[in-house]
Amino acid sequence: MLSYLTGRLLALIPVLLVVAVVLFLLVRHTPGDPARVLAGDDATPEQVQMLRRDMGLEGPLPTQFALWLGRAVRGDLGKSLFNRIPVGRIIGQHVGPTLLLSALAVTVSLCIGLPLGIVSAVFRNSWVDQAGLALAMLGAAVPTFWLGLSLIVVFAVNLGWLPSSGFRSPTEDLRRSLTYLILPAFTLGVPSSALIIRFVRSSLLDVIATDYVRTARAKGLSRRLVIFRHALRNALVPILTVIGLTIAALMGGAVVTETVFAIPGMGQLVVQSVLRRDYPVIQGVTLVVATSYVLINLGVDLLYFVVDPRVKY
Amino acid sequence: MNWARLRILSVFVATAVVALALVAQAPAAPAPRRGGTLRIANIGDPPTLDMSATTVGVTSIIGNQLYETLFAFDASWRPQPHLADSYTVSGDGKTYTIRLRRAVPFHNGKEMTAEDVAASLNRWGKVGSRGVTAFRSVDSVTAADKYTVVIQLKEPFAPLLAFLALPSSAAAIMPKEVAEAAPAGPARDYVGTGPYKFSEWQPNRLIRLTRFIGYAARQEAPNGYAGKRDALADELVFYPVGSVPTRIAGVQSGEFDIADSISTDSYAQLKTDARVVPEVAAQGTWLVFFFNKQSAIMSNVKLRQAVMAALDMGPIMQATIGNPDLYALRPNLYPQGTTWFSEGGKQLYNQKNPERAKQLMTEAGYKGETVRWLTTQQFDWMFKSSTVAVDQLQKVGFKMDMQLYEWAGVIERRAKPAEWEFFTTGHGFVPDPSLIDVFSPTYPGWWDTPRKKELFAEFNRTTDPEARQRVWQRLHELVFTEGGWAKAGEFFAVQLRSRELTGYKYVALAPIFWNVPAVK
Repeated sequence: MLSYLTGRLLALIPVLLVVAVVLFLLVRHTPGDPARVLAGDDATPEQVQMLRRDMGLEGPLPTQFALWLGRAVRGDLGKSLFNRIPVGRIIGQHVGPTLLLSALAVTVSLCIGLPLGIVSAVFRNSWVDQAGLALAMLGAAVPTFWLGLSLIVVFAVNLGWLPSSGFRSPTEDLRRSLTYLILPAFTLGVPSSALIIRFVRSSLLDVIATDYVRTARAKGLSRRLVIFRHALRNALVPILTVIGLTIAALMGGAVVTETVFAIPGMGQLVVQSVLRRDYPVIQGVTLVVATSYVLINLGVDLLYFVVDPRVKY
Repeated sequence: MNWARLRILSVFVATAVVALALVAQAPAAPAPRRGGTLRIANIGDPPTLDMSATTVGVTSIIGNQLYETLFAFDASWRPQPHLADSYTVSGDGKTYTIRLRRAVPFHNGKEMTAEDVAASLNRWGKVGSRGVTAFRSVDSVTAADKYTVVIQLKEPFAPLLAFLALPSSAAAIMPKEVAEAAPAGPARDYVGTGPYKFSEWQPNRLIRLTRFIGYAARQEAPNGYAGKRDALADELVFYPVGSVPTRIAGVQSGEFDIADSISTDSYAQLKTDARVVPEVAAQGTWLVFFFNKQSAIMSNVKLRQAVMAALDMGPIMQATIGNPDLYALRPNLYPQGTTWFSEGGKQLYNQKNPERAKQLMTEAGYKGETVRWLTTQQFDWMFKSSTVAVDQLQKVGFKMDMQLYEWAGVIERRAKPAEWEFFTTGHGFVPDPSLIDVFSPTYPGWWDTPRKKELFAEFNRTTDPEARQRVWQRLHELVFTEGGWAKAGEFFAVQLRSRELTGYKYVALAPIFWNVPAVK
């Protein structure tokens, strides 16, 4: 087990290295120059050159990469070319809202997806199943920006129950913080719940059809006991995969939802830094997201071990 | 009339006199409401708050509350002394002696002196694109004594005060140490003399400015950017809200007092909403197509004229903006009734004459070379206007290649003369024509013919207002005859404010949030 864990963690190094190199090349070869973005429309070539020097963008690309990598391995991701704030601190400021939003969104999707998926499987082909299926299709088909804006119009503009956009830190005021996150969490949670409904249903149906479930029922165990104690636990492995992938995807920032609700999360940070070509921030964020992606997958793999004792590493 | 009546009458008269006297003694208007927070939803986070170093709009919106300039435009767009107390110009127009106001503190408590002003202006001459342009005519800026600054020019430069007053790429005055610590890029510390001071910046979440208690206000009545500035609200909080519908919903639900840059599509609907007021900018933004005068084909003036002959501006503006209340089809860069109104070259605007275009193309020797048009989908109006214009040019026989980039890509590519023929952009209102980008020889498009160079130099040299006006008429015409750019029309930006927010008037160049009482 320990060697497995060490192996997986060591594998992180080449992954991050490849990500760093590919990203550096991609970003630096995309048309666009941060100095021009900042200097404005009427900037002279000399002015742009001066600003590039000031931003530390001069010198051959391999040298710049080596310098950046050298600092990055020591934990220094550089500073934003624009507001000069250290990238580590910027990421720290943006990761909180994203984590909180992801946690709430996953909770919402589980609260909707698990029960509906189970009910759909148990009452297969009934009207409940059909309704669950329709809901899943609808959830997957609705565009996030439309759902978000509709929720804003109904609950913020017309009813005035919840704020329309923004973010408050839970350390300032937990209750207010939650009011800001309810609508975005639903906007994100509903589409991913659609996926969970489908997975829970099909995974549970596979298990329900197995011999041991039939045996358990034949033994006289109640249907509820069979489903929750025997069937669901075995059906959890693929469901965990879906949940893990959902969380990992959310970590990169739910760009559309964060933009619609003006949440200062990783998605907003990525979009803004890409549009401005804020190279150190783009590189820093991508490394962090790649790391968290790998770690979340590792976490899911370890959970398989917990959920299913037959899994051995 | 008997005595009794007279007595009654006299009592009435006396009462009336006393009443009148009381009315006269009463204050003319109630004292303005103080306190609270003004909450403004912007289109995004600014790249910096240093409004000297960039022309980015969001920076001006915030920076204008924080920094001040030696001169400020009044409501008629005339520069008035602001941090300056008074000034004199030498007979040859080459020496400006500016006396500063005394006891004006910076946000860090230090008093503003001529040393700070000279350091700020010299830095602006290097890092601000407007400053770089102005400093082509500046020989030196020095502190003559503690409160006197002398600007020595190489040649007379009539628009100097307009350059010093502009709130974009502004000649902002900051402490000498702050200016000297950032000689090549944006300032690291945001310290000015304005009615609000920098308090905090949580990236992508909010920027907070608070009332500067020590603010030294002018005593004249407020007039445009000039005159008395009074920070009525305790705080200004700027929220970056990228989505337009969210900005609108925020004002409707009372979370924001003002939302910047509202889409023109929603204007008609918002006009009927009792909770909000859409404010239309008085000054239009020019929608312009820049010709690359260094490109192999567009360097030919006949071909530029062919393009202007072909374009039909009505459909371009209609497709781009839609609502006719929010755009104008006119050739003039400044509207009728203003100082710089001119009709020079108007016959070459909106010709919609394909036959003439084809004839000019033949005369120019056009052989079907590819015409590359740079634009972006990042700004919807740029994309829409380019699409219609490209289609129109294709119909008269140009071989068009519309290239889409992000805006950052467009501005990088347009800096390379060999890579394009056209790009689309908007040009905000500027109070003095010398500030218009098309006249700058370094601006992409590089319009620098001998005739233009000569006229523009004369325009900048001429200090007599009437003579300057006459030169402007010729320069305005030259933009059309030489094809400096093709102006499609102009559109009017819209801001949304809460109906409860009174006392606010939208000025598109850079909004004014002082003298505005907060709602909450």
